[in-house]
Amino acid sequence: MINTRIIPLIRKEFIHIRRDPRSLLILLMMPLLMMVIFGYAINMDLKHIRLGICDLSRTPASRDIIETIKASTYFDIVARFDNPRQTEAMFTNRVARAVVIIPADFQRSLKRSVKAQIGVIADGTDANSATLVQNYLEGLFLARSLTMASGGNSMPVSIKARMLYNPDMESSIFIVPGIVAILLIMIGALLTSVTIAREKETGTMEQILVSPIRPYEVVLGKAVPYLVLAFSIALFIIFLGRIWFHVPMMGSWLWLLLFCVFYVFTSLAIGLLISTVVATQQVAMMLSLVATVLPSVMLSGFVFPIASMPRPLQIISNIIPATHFLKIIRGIMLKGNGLEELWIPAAAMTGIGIFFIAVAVKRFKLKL
Amino acid sequence: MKKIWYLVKKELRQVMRDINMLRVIFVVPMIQLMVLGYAITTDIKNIDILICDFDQTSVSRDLVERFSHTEYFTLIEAPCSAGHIEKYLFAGKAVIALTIPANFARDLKTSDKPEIQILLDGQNSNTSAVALGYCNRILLEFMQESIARDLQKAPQIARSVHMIEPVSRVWYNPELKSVYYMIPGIISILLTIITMLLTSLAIVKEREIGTLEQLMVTPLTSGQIIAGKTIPFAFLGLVEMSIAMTVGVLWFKIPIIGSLPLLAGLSATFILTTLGLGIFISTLVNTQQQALFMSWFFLVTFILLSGFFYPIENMPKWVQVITYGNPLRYFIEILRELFLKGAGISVLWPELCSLLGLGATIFTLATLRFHKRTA
Repeated sequence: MINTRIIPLIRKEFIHIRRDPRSLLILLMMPLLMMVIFGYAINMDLKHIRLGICDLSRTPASRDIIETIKASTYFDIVARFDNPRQTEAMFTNRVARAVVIIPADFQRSLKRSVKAQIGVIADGTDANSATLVQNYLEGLFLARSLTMASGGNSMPVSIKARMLYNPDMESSIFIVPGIVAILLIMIGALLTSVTIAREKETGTMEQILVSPIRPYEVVLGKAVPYLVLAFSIALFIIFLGRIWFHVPMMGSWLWLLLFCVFYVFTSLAIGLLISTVVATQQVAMMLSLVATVLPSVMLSGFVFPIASMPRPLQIISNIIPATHFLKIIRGIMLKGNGLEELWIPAAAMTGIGIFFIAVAVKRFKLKL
Repeated sequence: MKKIWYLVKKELRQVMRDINMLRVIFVVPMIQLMVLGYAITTDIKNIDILICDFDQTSVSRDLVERFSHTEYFTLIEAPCSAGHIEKYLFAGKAVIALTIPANFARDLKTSDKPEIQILLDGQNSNTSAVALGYCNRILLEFMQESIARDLQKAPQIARSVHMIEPVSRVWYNPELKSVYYMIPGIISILLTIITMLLTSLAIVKEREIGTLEQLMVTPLTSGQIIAGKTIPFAFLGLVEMSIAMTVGVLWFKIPIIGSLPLLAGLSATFILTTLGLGIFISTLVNTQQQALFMSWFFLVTFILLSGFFYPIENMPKWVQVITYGNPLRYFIEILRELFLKGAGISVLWPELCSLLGLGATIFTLATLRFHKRTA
């Protein structure tokens, strides 16, 4: 009977897990920490950018511009100075991130010519915020010119924007499903490969292999406990996200859980594959970190949009299971997508999963 | 001194013996550097946008043109009908759907304020906010030019119209390359992984196999053991950092204006904190797996709260206070300022002091705990 041989193996693995409450605790703390940081601490939309102002004009027109800047939530005016040469000191002493210089003839040129120039200098050390600073300021000036031009009250076209699926613009709603994806791959790939490597290191793997247990039974004995563990932690994160951060659940639980199981299988397969390559725990850890966890964090669309990456990386992102799983879990939870919208990522993930499982089983047999 | 040297030699030999480990330590980070240097950008590009033009006049087509000419957006071709626009967002075919109403051109001319509707897939609120900003800007520019055109037709009112034109410059990174800003971050993360993770793993591994006890019963003091465990990884870390910087300079053409000796000194100070943390972690855990999880835990916290991706000024005050205890925060700042602006010690001394303070505290605590744990 298969069962009589596998069940003790599974039990043994569970005992290993239970004996190591610290690892379990960290596995639970990690998603909690990330949820708290993303939910409370992180906000991409730059606000309170430190701005220096050099007003050479000192006229009602220049004061009007300064008032406009002050009124926006984006900028905090931290310094005012009279000599444009001080700009450099603003940046080297990290007083301001950007400087606005209003030229002495600002009011005159506003009245005489159609266009009056204002200098904007941004500190490019932080390229991303420099881009945002430029955009904000240009938008601000454009809007101000437009209201002045169209008679001082409003703009010629009204823009009405609406954010769907996340109307309050909460990053936690976006990040909680992402954490599920990352954590499942961490448990699947990392934990599995490390436990097998540990058995190799301590020599117990050989003992198991000389017993009448067949290789696939060894694989199952390793996989089932981590499948259960990964799955319960995933559920824990989802529930916590629902209760604490009010992450919506628009779609069907059934599909979500089904795809979760499949994704966990895929990551377990990757873990098994890694374990056939490595001999020590350290290498197993480093390899699964670099080959699975980091790409899943960086290239899957977890935080950084795939559309903005260069083409070769976009292609690579397609072979990362997390990319597809993220589309599925976010689609189901946030939008209420069903199979009709999600069949492409679902098929891709299934394909990748089957491929990895096949390779892992084959290599596992050969190696052991 | 000689005793420490033997320990260092032994430790280095252990690392060098394992070809797989060497590969993982040196080759993989280079690949990561290459990939991440390109992948991580908080700016947006090629966001799928669907524009439903119900006006179909030359004016509205001009507006559509403007969206297709930027690299921020990719126009999606799809048939539009009122009420069915949301389904494209629902199916993930587009991230933004912009609707130009019928009679847009006419209403614009008669100052009837036509309304442009923008629907965004807000899942990734950060990207959507940036994308909305770009949409607004394109629309504003469009309005500005349509006003300017009207002015040409009616020059008599031109006098009453004021246009403010910003002339933007970016210093230190005029082309606004995000790699310039990402590479320092990636280098500091690599350095942290090598020094913190490998140190804790090396100690815990000896404990796991039982050789740490053997070391303890030798006449070596625990200070000497710590030195023997940390110096090799400090060395490896600095070698790795130099390689990463070389790649940064040669491949990504990142300028390094500041002084290299100063950089070396500051890096050594930084390593003091991460090595200390490595030892500290090793005293908290029993197995290599736990050491890995613990280091990973620290690393993620450090990265997220370092200002690497997310500016610290935007965080709530209480989180900002926490970041003062984050060594990575200071080191990333140091690297950025030193690489791009050539900042010297006169500017970077607050960071240096913080790192020294943190390093001394962590290292002392860790050594004390290590002593207690092994004694």
